[in-house]
Amino acid sequence: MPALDVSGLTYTYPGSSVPALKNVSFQAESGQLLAIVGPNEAGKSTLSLALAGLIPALFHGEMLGRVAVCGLDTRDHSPGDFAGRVGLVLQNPVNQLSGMRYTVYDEVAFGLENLGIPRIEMPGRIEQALVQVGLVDLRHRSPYTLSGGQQQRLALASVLVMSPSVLILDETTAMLDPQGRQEIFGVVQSLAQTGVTVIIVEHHLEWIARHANRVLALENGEVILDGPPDQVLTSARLRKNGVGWLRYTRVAALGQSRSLWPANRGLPVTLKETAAGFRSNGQE
Amino acid sequence: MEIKVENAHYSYPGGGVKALNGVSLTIQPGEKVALVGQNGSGKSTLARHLNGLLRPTQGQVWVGDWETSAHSPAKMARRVAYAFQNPDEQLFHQQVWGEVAFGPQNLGHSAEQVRIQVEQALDLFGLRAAAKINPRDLGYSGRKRITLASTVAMQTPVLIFDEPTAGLDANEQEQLSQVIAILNQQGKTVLVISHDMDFLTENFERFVLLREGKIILDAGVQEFFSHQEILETSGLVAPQMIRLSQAMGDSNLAITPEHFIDWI
Repeated sequence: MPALDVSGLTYTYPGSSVPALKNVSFQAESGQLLAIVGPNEAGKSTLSLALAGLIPALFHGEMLGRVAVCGLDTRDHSPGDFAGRVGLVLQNPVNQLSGMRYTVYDEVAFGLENLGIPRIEMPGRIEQALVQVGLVDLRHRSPYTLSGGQQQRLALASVLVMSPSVLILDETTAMLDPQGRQEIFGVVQSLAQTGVTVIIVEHHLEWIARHANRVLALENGEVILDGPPDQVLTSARLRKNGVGWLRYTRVAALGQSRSLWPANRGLPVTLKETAAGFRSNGQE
Repeated sequence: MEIKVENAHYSYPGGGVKALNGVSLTIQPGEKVALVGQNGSGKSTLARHLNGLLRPTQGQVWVGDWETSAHSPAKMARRVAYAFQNPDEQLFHQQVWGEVAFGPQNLGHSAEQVRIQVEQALDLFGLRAAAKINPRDLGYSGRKRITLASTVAMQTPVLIFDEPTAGLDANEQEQLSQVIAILNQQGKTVLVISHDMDFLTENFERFVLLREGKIILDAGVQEFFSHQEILETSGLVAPQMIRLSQAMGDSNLAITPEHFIDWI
């Protein structure tokens, strides 16, 4: 059973005549790190909400097709049923904090309390989540005195403590500095290695190129490409549609047009491949 | 309009740490300057001194012949326009048009002048068609571009953008590059706070690196990125083309793909 199974998903927001998602189908296996790219307004956040089960539970509008998370159809279950299975982390951590807890520790505890997890089990899980995101030393601080990066890691810990099988990150690093971003990315990579299915909506193509197993490109609500990073990220369609190309890809394409890039090499998406390609020109 | 920061110190109320710890900086009219450094290094604190939102506890900040402590933030807005990082902290109006017009209206410009300035700013960001809608109905990048347009509409000699590329896609970033080039041609001073090194190297000439409230490096783009050790200890990752130049052992550091190809 795939961790995520999406088939023929079409969704239209209330009051809109244009579907935000059109006939989206894909499956994701456990442990897969799947990146979703697309220009703004392509439907990435709508897809995140649908994968987390919040569409159709909390959003009205018209949904066709099917989304199943860990085998559960999102139309047949409430968001509460998905609480231990799928976690969603949004762009702005402030929108995600409960606003009802005075310390980092209690904020992480909040979800477990709502699930009715036995009290004796909670400290261990909270501790583990705080360790995973590196916030152990800040456990007694107020969530509102943290930096943006720390708040985002807290939002992530609050989701991780629920031990989700599927983790969805919707532009979670957009407001972070490189260090904060690396902190989040580091946690994400290790989670995928432990078998969590990670779906990450992300503008940072260089990281996707190095760490994603697979990239899904959306445009106007449709999946236009689905494949490994080096294929998807070098496609001509992405160059124009607002996703853009990495500078590595652009410089190689420019080199190609002036015979400075080996004719038998594809376009690169990483620094290593780019440097190797330019070094080998004329020798291959 | 020249900006002069003279040995500025600042601590937030109740905070023991000095957010600015003796910053001195002169920015010439028309310069394009990038303020970089980790979160908490003092970038936003410094930028907020330039439009008078914050005043130094010690030292002075001058914008042209105005010393910021002697003028209200409302008056400073005649000279310095500021776009915040998070658009939701800035947007308040029910319509995009009203949001963008708010600044120039408050500067006392005539209705006709306001109309022209708003239309020009909306056009620069491709937002004219959205003029009548509620900013809250737009996605993050739309809201972000409204705040950028609001800043540009004020037509001040100095503009500050805080993380302007966050959430923008590649085409929207290209649009922002063009706006910055236009502002520069008009002789305006543009300061940007950003972690987006690829965008910064392609659009800004001078880099000022802050750490713990102090300027630790202030240099032109190529010299700046040749200081690899300082950048690493400050958590900065050099842009793609500079890393490629370094990986190729090239002493010339390329700024753009075109530079790299010309030099290879």
